[in-house]
Amino acid sequence: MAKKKRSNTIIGKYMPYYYAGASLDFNLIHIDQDYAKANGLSGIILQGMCTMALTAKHLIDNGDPAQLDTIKVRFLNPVMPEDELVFDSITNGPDVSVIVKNQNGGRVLKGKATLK
Amino acid sequence: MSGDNIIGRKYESDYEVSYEKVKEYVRVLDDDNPYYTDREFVKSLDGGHPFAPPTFAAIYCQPALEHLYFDPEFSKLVPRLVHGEQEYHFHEPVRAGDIIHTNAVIDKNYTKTNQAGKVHRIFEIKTTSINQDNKLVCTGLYTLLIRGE
Repeated sequence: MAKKKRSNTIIGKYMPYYYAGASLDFNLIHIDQDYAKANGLSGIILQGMCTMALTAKHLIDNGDPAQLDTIKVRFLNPVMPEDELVFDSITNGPDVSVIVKNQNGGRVLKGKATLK
Repeated sequence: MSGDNIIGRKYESDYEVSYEKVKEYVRVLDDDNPYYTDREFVKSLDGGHPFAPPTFAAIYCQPALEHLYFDPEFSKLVPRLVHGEQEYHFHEPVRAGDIIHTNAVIDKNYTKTNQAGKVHRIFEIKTTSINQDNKLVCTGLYTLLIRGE
C-alpha cells in the first residue's frame, strides 16, 4: 500500500553560505547578490545539491542511510533564502516519488528514489 | 562555441572522509541522524566508524568536478551554469576514514530549446567513486545546463 509522508523546512537566510562552506561549492550565484543579479537571477539561490540533500534527509528520516539505493532529481525552480519548502513523498514498495514545493506552491524539485 | 571539444575528458580526485566534515555537513542540513553523528551508537551496530549521508557524494565528487569547472574550455560557461538534474546510485556505504577516488567524465553535450525559444546547452557528466578497498561506492550523473543568452 502506498505510504505518504510530508515534512517542512525553512531555508535560513544564510543557508547558501553555510552550505558553500560545508560543500566548497562557492559558485558566486550562491553567495554574491550582485553577481547573481548580473547573471539573470533575482538574487542568490540555494545550491541544488543542498535541496537534494534535504530531500534525502526527508526520505531517510533518521533511519539507516543504507536504505537509500538510488535517487534522481530534477531541479525545477531556484530555491531562495527564507523559502519555506514542503517535501511530499509517496512510497510504494521500494519506489518513492517526491515533490518539493515552496511557500507559493511553486515546484522546486521533483524526483524518484528507490529503497533497499 | 567553447566546450565542444571536451567530450570524453576525464577528471580525477581523491577525497578523505572525516567525521568532523560529516558533522559540519549534517549541521547545515539540521540532520541529527545518529548514523552520522553518534560514534557510540554506530560502534554498537558493527564496531565501525560513523556513516556519511548518501548525498555526501556531492562533497567527495566535488574536487573532480572542480577540475572541470576550472578547465579553460569550460570555465567561461560557468557564470551561466545551472544544475538541471542529478542522479546517484549508492553501493558500499561511505564512512568516516574512507578514502574515495572519483572519476568524472564528460559524457554528452547537446542543446535544448525551451518554451521561450532560448537555446540551452546541456552537459552530462558521469562520476564513478570507489573506496580504498576498490569497492564501488557511488555512480552519479550530473546534468549541467548552460542557460541561453
